[in-house]
Amino acid sequence: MSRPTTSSQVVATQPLLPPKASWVLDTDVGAVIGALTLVVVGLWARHGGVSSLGGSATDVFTSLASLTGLFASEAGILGLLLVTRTPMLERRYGLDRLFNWHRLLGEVMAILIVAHIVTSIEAWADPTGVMTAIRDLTGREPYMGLTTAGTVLILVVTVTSLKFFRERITYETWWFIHLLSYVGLGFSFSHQIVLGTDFMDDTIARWFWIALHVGVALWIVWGRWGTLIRSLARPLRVESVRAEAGGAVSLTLAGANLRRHRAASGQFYYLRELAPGRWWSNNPFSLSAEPTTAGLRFTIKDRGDASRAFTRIAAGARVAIEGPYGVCTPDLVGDGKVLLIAGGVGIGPIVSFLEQLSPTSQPVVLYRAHARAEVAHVEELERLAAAHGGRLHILVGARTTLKVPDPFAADVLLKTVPDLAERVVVVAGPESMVKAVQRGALRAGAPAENIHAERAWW
Amino acid sequence: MVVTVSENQRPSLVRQIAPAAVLTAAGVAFVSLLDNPNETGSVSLDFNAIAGRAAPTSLIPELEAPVVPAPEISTTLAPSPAMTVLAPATEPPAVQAAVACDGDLVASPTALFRWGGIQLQVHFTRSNAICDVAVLQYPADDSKSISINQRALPTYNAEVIAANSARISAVSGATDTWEAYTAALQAVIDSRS
Ligand SMILES: Cc1cc2nc3c(=O)[nH]c(=O)nc-3n(C[C@H](O)[C@H](O)[C@H](O)COP(=O)(O)OP(=O)(O)OC[C@H]3O[C@@H](n4cnc5c(N)ncnc54)[C@H](O)[C@@H]3O)c2cc1C
Repeated sequence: MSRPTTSSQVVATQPLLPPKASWVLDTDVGAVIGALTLVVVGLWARHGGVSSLGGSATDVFTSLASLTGLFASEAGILGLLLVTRTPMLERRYGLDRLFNWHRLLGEVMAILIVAHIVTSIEAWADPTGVMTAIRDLTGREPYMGLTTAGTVLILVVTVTSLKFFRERITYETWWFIHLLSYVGLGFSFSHQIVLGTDFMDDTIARWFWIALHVGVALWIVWGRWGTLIRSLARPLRVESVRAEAGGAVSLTLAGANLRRHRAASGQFYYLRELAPGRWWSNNPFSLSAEPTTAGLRFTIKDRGDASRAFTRIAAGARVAIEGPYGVCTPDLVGDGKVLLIAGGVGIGPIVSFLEQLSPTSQPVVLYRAHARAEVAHVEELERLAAAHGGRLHILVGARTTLKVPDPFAADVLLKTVPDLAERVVVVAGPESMVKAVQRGALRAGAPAENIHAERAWW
Repeated sequence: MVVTVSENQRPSLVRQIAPAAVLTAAGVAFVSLLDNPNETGSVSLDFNAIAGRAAPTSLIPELEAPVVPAPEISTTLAPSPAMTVLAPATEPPAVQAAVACDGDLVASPTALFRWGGIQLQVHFTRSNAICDVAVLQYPADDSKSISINQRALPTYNAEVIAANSARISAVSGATDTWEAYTAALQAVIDSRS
């Protein structure tokens, strides 16, 4: 096969192929979780966990301490696997769901750790008393000082991830605190092997447990650092920058390596500008045009330090990308009809969506913005909607100035889109709006599995 | 551009079930490989692991000086008040008690384990049955060890006399002691056969 000539590379702009479908099934995930649980419960039962439940109070606490400790480890392992950015998992479930499950497992793990601490102290307190037990278990026993430090780190990470605290600290602070969980987990691993009743005396169990943890650690390093290194090795360049309405900016990133890249409309990337002082921040942005060999376009609005820097970026700047991520893509719609709802800068993914829709989709686009001046990409939207036999509704104004209290209430939606129940609904925008749409569309008769949005996780 | 729906072919039943079947089988196989020698203990026992960790010095022959504990762990010398506590708290069955301890008095090697060392003194009858066991030394570095051993050792002594062998079951929570205890006792029994 002859290599394409330079001129054909420039001229033949083609849409990128969509990402390969994942071969992972729900049943596969269930099988892995089930097998790991089986092994964990088996370890515990085989080492006398069940029979001890019929023994003295100390036996019962010893047994429960080992069970809660094992389950906490399992939750930790599964939670970490979810954030390895493993493509086959991401393609199947989407980064947003993986992150949400990760958070859920983190919370479960924290609760199990607390239960493990309480039962361990109770077990150890016989007969020397709780205070001696606490002293022994926080430092006098081998590796327990380290474990205590690790536990404190893990609990700090969990607490700062609670919504209340998460909303009060910056994303970067939260993220750096979050990194401490690796240190915490590493620290507390030591006591499982040295003091854990399931591992200190059973060679097979011990090596299995060590191998499992090393395997997960390598997987994380491979997934996260591999992604980072690949993105840094082949950065794209800012090909063009265009000011859009309302202070938003659309930038197109291009590079020769896009020829073999796969992506679909509606997906998003983490962008990292390779410039002094900027390289460490990594922010997610959605495609705002169909991805092609000529470039990836993003529409970015100034919302803080990082996004502001992108709105001021100059053509030629180098940007490393990680992605694409997200499963909210046009193949959800298939040959059916679609309702697209965008709020604010959420219009970006909706524009890209429109470009890849089938002619039968008759799209209805609802575009909600605070002010007329903030409405971006209008000509594009009108052209695309018309080309697909659809229509565009723009709804502007602060919430209090609207004629209806909730623009996404079921009756309001049905007035604009009478055939809503037959349509696939796709929403992009702020979390509160996504929730309002989900509520309204459900009431208006759309089945839950036909309502799609990128879930908020940040 | 039109994106066609590609993933709507349902995966076959075999494809759905096979991973679960394989992983479950592997999990069951793995669990059955694990050590489970003792039903009553909450702690698993692995005699090989213990031997592997400290062998061959885990058993220090001390046959010359039966009552003198191993010099290298002088701190684990059983304090004499503890010895009183250890004196048969659980009385051996009457039949056993009636047997005259008219045979050899043998000190065991010191079995070293994580928490210290255990040394036994075994009294035999003329017909070579075990009629009495005394603990010369046990881990007493901290109150936790003392309490565990004071609880378990009298039971072990009584069990040994009843069973006339080292095949006794462990007291839960005191399996480490059980391992060292039975190792020390077995060494004595082996040395006489
Ligand atoms: C899937 C996804 C797609 C997005 N698409 C677009 C888009 O097309 N156009 C656009 O303008 N914005 C988009 N955003 C929002 C954009 O990522 C944030 O506005 C940007 O990261 C804000 O960073 P900042 O430092 O400028 O502001 P900050 O003041 O630091 O943060 C503003 C908000 O963004 C959140 N945020 C900050 N950094 C991150 C991060 N690295 N990851 C996740 N959340 C973060 C913060 O929690 C806060 O709620 C998208 C976000 C997500 C999660």
